[in-house]
Amino acid sequence: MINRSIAPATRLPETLPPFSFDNITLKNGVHVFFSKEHEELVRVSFFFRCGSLYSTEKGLVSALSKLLLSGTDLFSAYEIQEKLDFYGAYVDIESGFLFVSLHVFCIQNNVDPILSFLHEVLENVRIPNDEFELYRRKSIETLKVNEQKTAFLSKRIFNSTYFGLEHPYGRYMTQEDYLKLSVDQVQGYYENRLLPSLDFILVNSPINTESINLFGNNTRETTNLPETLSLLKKEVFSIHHQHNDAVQASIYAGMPAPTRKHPDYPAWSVLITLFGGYFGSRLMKNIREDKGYTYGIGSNTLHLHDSSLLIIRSDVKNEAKLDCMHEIMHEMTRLFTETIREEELTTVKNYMLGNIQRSFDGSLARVDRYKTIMEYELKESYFHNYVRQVKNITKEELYSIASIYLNTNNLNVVIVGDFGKN
Amino acid sequence: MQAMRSIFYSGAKASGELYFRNMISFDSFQLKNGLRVIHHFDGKTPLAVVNILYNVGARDENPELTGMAHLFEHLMFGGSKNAPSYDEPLQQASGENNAFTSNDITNYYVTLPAVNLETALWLESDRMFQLNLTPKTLQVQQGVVMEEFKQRYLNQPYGDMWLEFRPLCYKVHPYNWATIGKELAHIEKVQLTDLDTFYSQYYNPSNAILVIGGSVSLETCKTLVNRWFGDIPAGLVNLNIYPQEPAQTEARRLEISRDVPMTSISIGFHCPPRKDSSYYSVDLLSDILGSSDSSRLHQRLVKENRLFADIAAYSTDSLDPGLFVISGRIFPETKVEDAELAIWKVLEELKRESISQREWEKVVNKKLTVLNYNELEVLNKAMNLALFTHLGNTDQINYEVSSYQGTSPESIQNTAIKLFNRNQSSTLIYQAKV
Repeated sequence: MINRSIAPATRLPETLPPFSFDNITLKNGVHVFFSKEHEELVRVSFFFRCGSLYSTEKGLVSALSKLLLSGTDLFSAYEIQEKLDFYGAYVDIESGFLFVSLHVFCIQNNVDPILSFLHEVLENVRIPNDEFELYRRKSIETLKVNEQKTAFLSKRIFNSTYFGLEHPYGRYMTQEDYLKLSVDQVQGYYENRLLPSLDFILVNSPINTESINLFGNNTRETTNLPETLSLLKKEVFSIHHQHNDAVQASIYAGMPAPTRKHPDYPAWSVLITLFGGYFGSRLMKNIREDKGYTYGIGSNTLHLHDSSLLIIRSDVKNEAKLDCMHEIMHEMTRLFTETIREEELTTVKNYMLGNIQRSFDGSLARVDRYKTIMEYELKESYFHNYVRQVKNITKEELYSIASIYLNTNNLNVVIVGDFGKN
Repeated sequence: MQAMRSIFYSGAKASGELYFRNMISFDSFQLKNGLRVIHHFDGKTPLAVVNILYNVGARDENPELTGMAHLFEHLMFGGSKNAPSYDEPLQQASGENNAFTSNDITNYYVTLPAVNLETALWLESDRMFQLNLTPKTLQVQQGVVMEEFKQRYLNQPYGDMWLEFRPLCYKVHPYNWATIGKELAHIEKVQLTDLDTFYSQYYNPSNAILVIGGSVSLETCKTLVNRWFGDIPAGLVNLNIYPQEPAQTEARRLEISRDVPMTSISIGFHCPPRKDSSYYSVDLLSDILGSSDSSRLHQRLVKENRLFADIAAYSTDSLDPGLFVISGRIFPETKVEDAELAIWKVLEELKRESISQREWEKVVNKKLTVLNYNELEVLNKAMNLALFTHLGNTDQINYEVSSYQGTSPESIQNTAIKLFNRNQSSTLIYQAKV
């Protein structure tokens, strides 16, 4: 019988595989990066550099991404969707701050007809009025549903207060805004911005197709970010927002953090993972596993285009919301007043190294990491260096990083809950 | 004997000709204590996956103590005799884990570097063998699960829909309640003795399926699994006998009123169990009706009639006879009766008129994409291997494509004729308070 009291020996994960991408350059200079390994399931991702940071009007970019396949002069929304479905394609369009990205999933055999068809559609978008009206009505109803959710409200209040209502990071659509939005504005944004802003294409497998070249026929223009985007320095805030009869309160708190490019970032990311970035983190242990106040609590670094933020969020038992906030502050204070035990540091580092290895597992995951490289203009060796740095971080470094960046007086807090009941 | 990944590939086009995807190779063996083990080698990943399916779910619960199976899942992370913490040794071995409970099964999974596989097997075998059940763990996890209940079912608009819908559709079968439980009070009143009984009844090697996937040879898999699981005593096998739902003979209807912006309408029909040969027609029927913007319900009721803001159709994929559900939210101006009438019109038309070859090909082709997607990650493959083994035939994982291709427009239409019977429908009107 095996002696179960002796834990098996463990080793650290192997080093990350190097990125293995080929690339071709289309006629207009757009780069297409292919993973070299053949996959039967293909994902082709198009990145258009016309996200909401490039738009002075709110709501335009997300409207465009929802209406991009709503019609052309030749095809109705139904005809477009039916044809994509017929080829087994799943299309996902995301509107981000920097990019509008279009991802299409399909099997190898269908890549060619799908890409030619998508190109034809994307070149000839004419948003039909009735599709736009339907979009408007659905958006208003969805907004009403979201406004009942404490987590949605806490994030919206945080962003609009922290970044301001004028900034793309802080502005949001109200019901009235949807009523004011016009189809011409959205159509105009499409015509002026979409195709010329195609920046790069990522594919998780080599694809044997000519149709990708079609995307090289469109003129490409570079647009600079509007200059009005500098963030105003605001006073630290703490907002309690009343939401009647909430059985849970949502906490959303944040403060400035080092960006990925900052030399302090690797140590910072270890610190924040230890604080609230994994199941064994201090916040989870204290607030979930010791007190049972929540189903989940976490901290992470939110990377924006030009800055980064520490974000802490949780949905907690309404009666425990203030106590929970107190515990968050307490756990943060411990980071810059107490030294971390060596064993705890080893656990978090080993966990993180495994996590990075998992985040490189599979062709889609590797493409996603490559997208991070492109988006934040990092070197290809970024993740490999990061792994090396994480391995070597000491508890003294973490203590000094905590002392530099963490200060409970700088934490901006929003709590949405029922304050009538405690 | 090394498992290999073989590729059969034909140059077929999308248009419904026979298409073969990659085959998933596996080996299976069983320990003396009854543990069934499936091994799948995937040399493309440096990781190993350990997936354990226990044959126990919410349908095995006492109707007065619902939510137990899921609460128990949380307690499985409370440490065992030789590993007082489950999470820490796993994190030190660079691993990650999670679990889920459904009405039918409880499934635990770990991914970690293949070189550390043994740590996962040590932890999994120890908690299968001798779990620590303490008052403190119980008390904390009762709190956590009650917060989960609130977060997902009470503090969300429409969150309690399934809590109301299940008892309407099932009067006898334990699918009558949701996995989270009927009410918070059930979770609150669970005692340690209830958990001891539950543990000894269901958590043993004879009632589990273990899948090892990834960069692990069959030989290593056999050695390590025998080492860590071989000496756990055999136990009871869940025979999965449940009170079966009698055939429904008249339409049911429930109207409830909640503080939500849009009224939602859900109609449930009883449908065959996952193992039934008609499953594939049922699944494609749900795609024809409502899984994409080009599906019939969306096209007719959202796009053309503008009655609904959204609408979907799906089946619950249950091991006992499940539900085929049509559920949508109507615009504030839409009258409930018009909306219901419009849904029925689409269903009646489907029963009456044949489905075109092109529409059938469309839904089969979309399925091909999904099936290929499921093969990208070793974790997905491991979970599916466990599920198909539990369904009775591991090999079926490689016949999913041909099973879908074996359907026809007629078989789907016949399924619609069988399913969409007013007298066997249950309608929940989740009314927006004015």
